[in-house]
Amino acid sequence: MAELDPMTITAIMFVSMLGLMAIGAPLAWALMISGMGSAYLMFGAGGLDLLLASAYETMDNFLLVALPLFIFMGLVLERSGITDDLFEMIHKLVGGLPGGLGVGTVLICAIIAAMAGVSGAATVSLGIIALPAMLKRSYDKRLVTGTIMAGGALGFLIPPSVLMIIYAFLSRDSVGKLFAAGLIPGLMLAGIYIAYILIRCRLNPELGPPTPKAERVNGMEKLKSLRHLIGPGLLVGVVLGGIVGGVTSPSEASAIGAAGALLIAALRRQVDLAMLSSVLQTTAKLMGMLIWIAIAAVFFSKIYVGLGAGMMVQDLIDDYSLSPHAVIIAMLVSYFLLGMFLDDFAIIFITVPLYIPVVRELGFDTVWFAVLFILSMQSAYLTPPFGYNLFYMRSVAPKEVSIVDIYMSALPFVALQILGLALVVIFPGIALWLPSLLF
Amino acid sequence: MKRFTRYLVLQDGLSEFVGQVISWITLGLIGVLLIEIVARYFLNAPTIWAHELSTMLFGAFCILAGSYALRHHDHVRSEVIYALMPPRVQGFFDTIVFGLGLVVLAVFFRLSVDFAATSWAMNEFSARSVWQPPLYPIKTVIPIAVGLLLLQNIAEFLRALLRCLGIAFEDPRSEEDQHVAETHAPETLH
Amino acid sequence: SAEKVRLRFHTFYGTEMDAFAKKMRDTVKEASGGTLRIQYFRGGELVASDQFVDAVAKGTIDIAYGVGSYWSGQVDIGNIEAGLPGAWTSAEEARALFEDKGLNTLIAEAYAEKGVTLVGRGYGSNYDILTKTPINGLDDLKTMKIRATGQMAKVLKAFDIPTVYLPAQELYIGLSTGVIDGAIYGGPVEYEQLKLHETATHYTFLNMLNPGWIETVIANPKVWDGLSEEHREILTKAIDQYAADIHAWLEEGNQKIVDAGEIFEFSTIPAEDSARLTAAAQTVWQEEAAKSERNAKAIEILVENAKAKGRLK
Ligand code: NA
Ligand code: NA
Repeated sequence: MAELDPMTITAIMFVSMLGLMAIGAPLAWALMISGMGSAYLMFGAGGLDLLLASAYETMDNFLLVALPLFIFMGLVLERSGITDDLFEMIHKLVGGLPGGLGVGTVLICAIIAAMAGVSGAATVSLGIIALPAMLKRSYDKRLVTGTIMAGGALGFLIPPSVLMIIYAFLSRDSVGKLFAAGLIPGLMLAGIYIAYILIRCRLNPELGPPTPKAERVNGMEKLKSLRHLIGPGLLVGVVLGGIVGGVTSPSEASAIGAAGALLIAALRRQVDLAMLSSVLQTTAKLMGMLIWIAIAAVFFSKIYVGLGAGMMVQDLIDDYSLSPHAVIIAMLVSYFLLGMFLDDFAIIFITVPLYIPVVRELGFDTVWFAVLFILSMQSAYLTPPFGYNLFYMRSVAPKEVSIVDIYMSALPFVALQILGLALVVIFPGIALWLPSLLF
Repeated sequence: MKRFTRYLVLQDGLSEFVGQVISWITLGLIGVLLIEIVARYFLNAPTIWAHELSTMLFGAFCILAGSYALRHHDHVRSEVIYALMPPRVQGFFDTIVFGLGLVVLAVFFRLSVDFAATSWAMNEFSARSVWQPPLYPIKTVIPIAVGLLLLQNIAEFLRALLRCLGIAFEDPRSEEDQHVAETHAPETLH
Repeated sequence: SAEKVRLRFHTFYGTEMDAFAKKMRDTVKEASGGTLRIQYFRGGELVASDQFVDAVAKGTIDIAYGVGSYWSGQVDIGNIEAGLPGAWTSAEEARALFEDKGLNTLIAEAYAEKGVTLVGRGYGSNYDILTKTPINGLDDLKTMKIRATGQMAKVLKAFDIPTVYLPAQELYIGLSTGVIDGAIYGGPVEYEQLKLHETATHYTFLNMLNPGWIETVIANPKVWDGLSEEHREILTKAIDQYAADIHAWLEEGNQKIVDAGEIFEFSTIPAEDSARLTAAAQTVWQEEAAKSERNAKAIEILVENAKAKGRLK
């Protein structure tokens, strides 16, 4: 076996992997190719077997069973038409306030986030329903477009969360603790968005005019519109209550959630064979993509660790005697930069195995770091050139909302996300209080 | 080139068929876990099999879906640079990527056949719970899934090679490609 | 300079044994004048612990330090080797069984058949039950859900006690939320490390098996036989020391927690229940014996020993 220092190994592995990605290789291919090449060159044929170890280990994991089910649940909810009901409700409840529909949109996002484990559900369905409705009522297009994209990104922070499950798989933290840790920061961020919308509409009422008197309804109607919260409320209660309050494992809760979402959609008469098979097929495509990335990334990091380079980051820190907080901030900056170009799944699988031992070594709580990571990924969804919510919005936005509008609308919300991130860095209790209370 | 197009139709069809069939496993997964919850809370008798069975269903479902995802361009890639290139350069890039992929997957296939054969030979079963299911079925799924992915990877490689060489052919997938490029498929939910 | 030999040593333990790992690596490096080096990997870093035999046979790793019950699906003597309920009551008794009464010879044969060499052994520590509410006897367990694996789960099943499997990282939440009411996973030290004392405080000695698990060290035969006599000696000594350090650390740690009596309330299962458990375990012994001729021989050794000690008639 060749004798290489950790720096050289790191350079060979990461440069070849990033090079492959640059020429458009699917992430799983880039990781497998550079992992296998490095394994064979430096580790010998025995190293190749680690690919199999990685595949079997990834398949044989009860924790990950929740992934397809939360994805399925999000897809079903997106097509259940539940967003129509919720939007009708907030229109009646808060439409009369300046900026009220924007505030309501954030609330809907938070509700959907608490049901679905993914981010696209809210962005796509609100982009189709709420965006044209608010434009029609002369809301500022950049304000509402940004609101929907940022609100949609709450899906990963407010539990349940697919990203948190993957993080737990990699860091061996408990999923329940991570879910509990995301709740308050998620609600805090929603609160920041709401405050921002209210302040801007206060300063300039033209940004979010109240609905015309003719459209408003009386108190009885308002009360009646609250019935739309029953279905989502039950679903959130059962799924989150099941996990956080402690009746079921996350995987079991995801099954209840999936069945519940299907029930809600069926009650709204949205379920037929075509819808069901389409949702199942999308779930299969997403999981086929995700699991192959997981296998390839687990393999890549095993080779990296197996070659003795696992301590590289730690050594760097020791050599330059960086302060623990400086290291955390450097990691968050790297997330922000990576988030501009890479998919969140790519980022989590590449960086978490590398960063977690360091975070632990520095004496920080990996549950806290999980929340920082997810907060960073929220921004990744909004930062150009590569941001999922930008893509979703572009695909559903009406013509009058240009691409420039979409990009510009994201900027203030990215700033608000960074504010939220800074708050959790400075006050870890925002994330850690609830898990410490519950468990 | 007619025969090449026919081959592509067949290969894409295989991945499509496998993907559509296994996609129903998700419902089975929900069923198994719901049974466990009912058994544990309402009958106070947790099953001995739900945990491991659901894990096996999950593992088989996900790894088998790999070729289906590839057939639909659903494997995440960064197109920041790629998209700026003319088609023939893109074809060249893809030729490299899927050519190397061919080697990697062939090695993987070979190893996974051994992995499964060893398990069959020793009649391996799980030692985790009192259920003790045999492990060779799930271990056999790996070479099958890797083999299917290898086949689809060959199709991607040949497509890329012809594009790189500038040889025109009728791609049965091109209509869908158009659609994907235009809408960036909002249903690919993240 | 002399040629350096590097060996990949994979343990099933996590970071808690890092100090002993460092000692082992340093000893080997010094004693060999730098010609022999150990690359140390913790549980799960390269290969899952239940895949150790395969990985060592193929040379993915050179030496593995694990427990036979993890891979009993592949090596059928693994459960007997790891410890059947009622098999031994002290580390000395276990050591005598393995080293003097022929267990190791049988087990080494079994491993050789799977393409690996048995090169060492470690003696674990306590393996008892932790529950949220106090238990006065076996019957209290019937209304609880207990996390247990392998042979222990089988024995509990004989008493209609429902068992479930949960991975270690989910034990805390499982207990705090009531998915499970108790767990059989290790001794006081392990439970404290997983912070389980924050959610369940009743530790009950089962008096069934002590040490509760026996550790196995296996090596790739090509690599092992390819070492020089001197290297092999240095390595064997260092691995034995690593195993002894772990055993001593667990025993002392457990005793300290028991003596302090702060985080857990300790009790012992009634003698007649221990006897019932041991009797029920006989079915498990016979099941293991039926698996192969070699297993039958191993069980015979255990039975004879138990009779000599007066635990069996
Ligand atoms: Na969510
Ligand atoms: Na981005």
